[in-house]
Amino acid sequence: MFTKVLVANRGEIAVRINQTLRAMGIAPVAVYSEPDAGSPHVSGAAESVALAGATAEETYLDIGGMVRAALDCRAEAIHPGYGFLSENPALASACRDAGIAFIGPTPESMAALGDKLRAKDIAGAVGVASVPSSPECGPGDAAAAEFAERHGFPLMVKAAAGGGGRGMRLVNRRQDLDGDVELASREAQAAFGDGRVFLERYVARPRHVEVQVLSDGFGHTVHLGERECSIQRRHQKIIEETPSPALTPELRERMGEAAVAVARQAGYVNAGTLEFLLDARAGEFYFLEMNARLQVEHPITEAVLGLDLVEWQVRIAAGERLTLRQEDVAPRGHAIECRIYAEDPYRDFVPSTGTLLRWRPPSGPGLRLDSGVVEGQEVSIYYDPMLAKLLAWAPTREASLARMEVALSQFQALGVITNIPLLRAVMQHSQFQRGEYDTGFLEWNPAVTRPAAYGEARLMARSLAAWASGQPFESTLPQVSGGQPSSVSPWQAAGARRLP
Amino acid sequence: MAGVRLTGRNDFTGKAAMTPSQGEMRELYPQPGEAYRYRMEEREGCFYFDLEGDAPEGSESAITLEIESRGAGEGLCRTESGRTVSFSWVWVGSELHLWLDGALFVFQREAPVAGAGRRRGRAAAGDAPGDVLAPMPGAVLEVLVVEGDRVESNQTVMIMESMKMELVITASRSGVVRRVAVQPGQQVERGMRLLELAPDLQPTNPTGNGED
Repeated sequence: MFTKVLVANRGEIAVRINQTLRAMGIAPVAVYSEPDAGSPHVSGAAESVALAGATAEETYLDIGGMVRAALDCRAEAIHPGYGFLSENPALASACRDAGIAFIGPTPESMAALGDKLRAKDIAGAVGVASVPSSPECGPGDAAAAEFAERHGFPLMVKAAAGGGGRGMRLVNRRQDLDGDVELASREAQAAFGDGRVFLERYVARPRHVEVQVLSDGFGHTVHLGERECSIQRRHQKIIEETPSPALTPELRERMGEAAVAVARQAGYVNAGTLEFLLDARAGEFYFLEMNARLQVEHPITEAVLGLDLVEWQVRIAAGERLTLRQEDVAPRGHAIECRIYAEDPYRDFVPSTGTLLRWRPPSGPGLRLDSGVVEGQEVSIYYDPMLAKLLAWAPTREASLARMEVALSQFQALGVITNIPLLRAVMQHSQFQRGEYDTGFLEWNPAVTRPAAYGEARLMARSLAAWASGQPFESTLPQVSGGQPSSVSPWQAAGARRLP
Repeated sequence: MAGVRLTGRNDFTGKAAMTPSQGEMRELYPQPGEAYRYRMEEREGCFYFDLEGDAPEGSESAITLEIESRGAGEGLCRTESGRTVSFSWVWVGSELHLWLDGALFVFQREAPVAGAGRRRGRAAAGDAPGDVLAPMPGAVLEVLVVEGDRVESNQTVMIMESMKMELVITASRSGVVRRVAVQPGQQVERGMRLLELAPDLQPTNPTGNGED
């Protein structure tokens, strides 16, 4: 087993990985950018290495710098966390070249899965369907007409070399097909230098369900059940739960088996996640992609299975056998996770920065907080605005939602705007409580993204604000940059104004 | 813990030591709203409260709250129906961020008197530091000092009546009364000079670090 591991990440995931490493008797090494010098992921590590610069490109995305830092402090392995370099085969390769273990899959399988078309082929080879698509086609092609005939409208036209929504169009009517194919092709040519397009069936209002897998280096692979991730804003998940309220036991088994088959076909080693689109009404699921890393929402799987995924990642990377058998995987109860973001849910989720002048997370039975921040910390413009993940577990879904709702109502975060009120509104929404939702939930329930009327609470707030204005409250928190006090005594300020 | 009562009551009388406070706040978040004026009197550990401006939709125009301060920046608040909720607050510059029972509100403090004075065309620039200004329009009831008196910071120097409430006017700093600008019975406007204080050689309140 390793004695020292470098965690090539920041924020809550670096804090969380540090915890497991320490519990395993391994010394965690933190890396940090200039704005992160005072962050909890640094103070929680046994050693730390400063990375010059502030932006992600200068620091957490610098492959050479990461490997040098690991060599300098004699770490035997690098854990990449999620995001940043976690799915970059170049880091895995650089680690291999430097004789450092990479806690994740091989660069080869990472590269194969990173290419959407190759990933679809890998899944197809073991009979796992992706969203049905046509061969490459041009305007007026018989192949396009045939596909449209078979699947009907609407359908999607997508660029073969595509990404980021470019070269992608929704075709609503037959008479638009040729024109849209031509437009998409021209867009793709301009964007990627490759005008090949194909048609894909349009899955209306799908659910987003993913399956966790674990594989060791000896050909043993298990799946650890699913996570339902359909509550999204801007195509990013904000709430995840397991088990999914949409899966029957039969569907769950089929998806689990499919996930294991794809992982095996890819020669996958370590923890990975297969994402599927689920058409719940039709009972059909389609392979989307495989994430070759630890997921943000992995703690809900840990909660229902009572295991530590990071510990297994480290053991597998150190060459140990995965002793968990598929029949041992027996989820217990229900877990839900809410991502606490520094963003304004009422102004199109615009990120909020500032100083976390007050940060009092809730605690109680069945709660877990994975946090990357502490009270008094600056929330900067440089990185992802996710501050923490709050998780609730209970024997039933109803009870875990109730625990989550109470916990959110007690979560005091002041100084930056957070999405906590939105998360709470989702918990209180009857459709969500019934488990009847899909990826369009926020779009179809715009009331959730508007502030509640509040009524009496607003009058109370007005009174308390006036009362608080008269309270001699001196903040002991550190000053914000620029030398201005982060908080001032309102009493004294008011007095100075009244009697200048 | 000092019991604090916020109420729409405004019919009490008496001359117990009171510290008036008043100002203007504007709601910024979650719903930007109109500015509202508040006025607060403390008497025997109780606060009497008036809020002016439109009542928020769906609420009463006046409420009674009992507040228990729980230390720096936090407290408990009990409603008339007996529900107890917790709240906390921080200042971000001149913005008050209030967490109340799971919801976030942000208020902007409007300049309470100097701003009003400017609006009324009274140049704040002409007022020397330490001059005592009328916090709101009303009548002077009593003047408790005469020219030449030495006053301490926070000492009551005058009592005004306004909107059927008595307001205690205190000195912001210690000094010597150079001139009493008003007499009992006189009507004054908000921001009007009531007293002039001569500069004092003793240091002023060291914690008066306003953010301006």
